[in-house]
Order: sequence, then structure tokens, then C-alpha cells
Amino acid sequence: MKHFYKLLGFLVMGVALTGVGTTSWGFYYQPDTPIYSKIKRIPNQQRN
Amino acid sequence: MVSIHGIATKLGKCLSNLTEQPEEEEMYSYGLEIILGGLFKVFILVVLATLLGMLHLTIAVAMTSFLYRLLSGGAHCKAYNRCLVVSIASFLMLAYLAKLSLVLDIPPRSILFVILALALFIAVKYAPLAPDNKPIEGVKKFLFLKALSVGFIIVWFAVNSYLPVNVALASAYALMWQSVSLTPLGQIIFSILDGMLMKMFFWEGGEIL
Repeated sequence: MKHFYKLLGFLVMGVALTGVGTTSWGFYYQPDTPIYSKIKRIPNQQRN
Repeated sequence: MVSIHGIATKLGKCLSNLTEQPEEEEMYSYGLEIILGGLFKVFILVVLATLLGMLHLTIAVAMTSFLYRLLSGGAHCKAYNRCLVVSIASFLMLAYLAKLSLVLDIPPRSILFVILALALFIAVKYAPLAPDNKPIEGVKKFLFLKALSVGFIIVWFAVNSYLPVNVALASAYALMWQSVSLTPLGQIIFSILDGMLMKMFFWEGGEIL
């Protein structure tokens, strides 16, 4: 079972990395990438 | 309210525990959000296309759109639910247009050549167009994606010559629509559609799924 989870994790990570590395993954909405989510949590004044 | 983002976040946490990689939790959540969101849309699209008897044409539209969009990017909706409506409505309309084109007396190859020329022009001038939450970092990557976008169109045209006429037309309309979404006009169209759907269904800022 541990190998199955590892494989699943590997596949999900592949999709995530493709999402980060390309301009758009599929349809007309893009979820925030992990990096952008972190940036968004910082208040505007502190970003610059 | 149940949302794909919420489900993906929980599943991402579970998966990071199961794989003993807690540091990758956010990446797993992000990957799962893409997978779950995509699967749901594909499911709805396949059901509706089957009911309308246009499954093969819709698959041609979706495949062309997905592959080209991966390289070129394009205009986006600001929420998942509005993307769902716009994607499904536009893909089904493009498939129907391909079906309709065969009834009209227009030589299909001439349509393909016109679309090829327009798509190449737009790719050279506007591709790639990244969403605000995923900017392209560096000129090298920008030029690389532009070159890939142009390369895709050339390969697409070569492959399209071997496809049945109706499938080739559906694919060509998808390429055209995707190309339009790269232009300033396409961004205005998407912004209007996004705004209209937000007003119609009171879905401001959120996901209903």
C-alpha cells in the first residue's frame, strides 16, 4: 500500500509541477500556485 | 460550502502524511485541485456531448484546446464555476459549428488555411499569455513558450491533414477560439463573459463546487 501512495504522490506532483511550469493547465481557470498563495497572504504594503 | 479547493486541500494533507512528505502538502493540494477540477469538467462535458450526439467533435475541440493552451496560455475566468460554464458552453458550440460547417457549402480546406494563417500570426504576436496568478519568469521561458506555441500550430496543421474533415474542422475552430483568447479582444470577451455570469448567478468571488 505504501508503494501505491508513493506512486499516487508522484503522479499528483507531476501534475502540480506541470501546472507550475506551464502557462495554463487545461480549462479557463487556474488555481493559485503554492508560491502565489503565499504571496497573496502577504498584505499589499509589505509586498514591495 | 463544499468546494474543489477545500476537498483538494484536505486530500493534499492526507497524501502528504501517507507519503511521509509533509513539506510537499501545498504542492499535493495544488496538483489535486487541478486533477479534481479537470475531471469534473471533463465528466460534465462528455455527458452533455454524448447527449447532443457530438462526442467525437467535442473531444477534438477539447484536445486541441487543452494542448495548445498548455503552451500558449490565454484569458481566464476568475472563478472555477464560471470557467466551468464558459468552457463547456464554448466547447459544445465549437463542436456544433463544425457540424454545421459541413452543411454549408464552404470548402473545409480553405477554412483550415485561413485559421492556420491567423493562428500563426496571433501566436507570433501575442503568445504566451500567462494568468495573473502564474506569471512567466524570465525572457528565455517566454521565448521558449512562444516557439513551442508556433511549433504546435505547425505540427497541428500537419496532423490535421490526415483527420476526417469534420474532426479537422472542430479542431481548427478550437485553435481559432484559443488563439482569440490570447488577443486583447479575447481578454475583453472573457472579462465580459465572466462579469455577466457573476451577475446572472451571484457567484461573486467564490466556488460553488
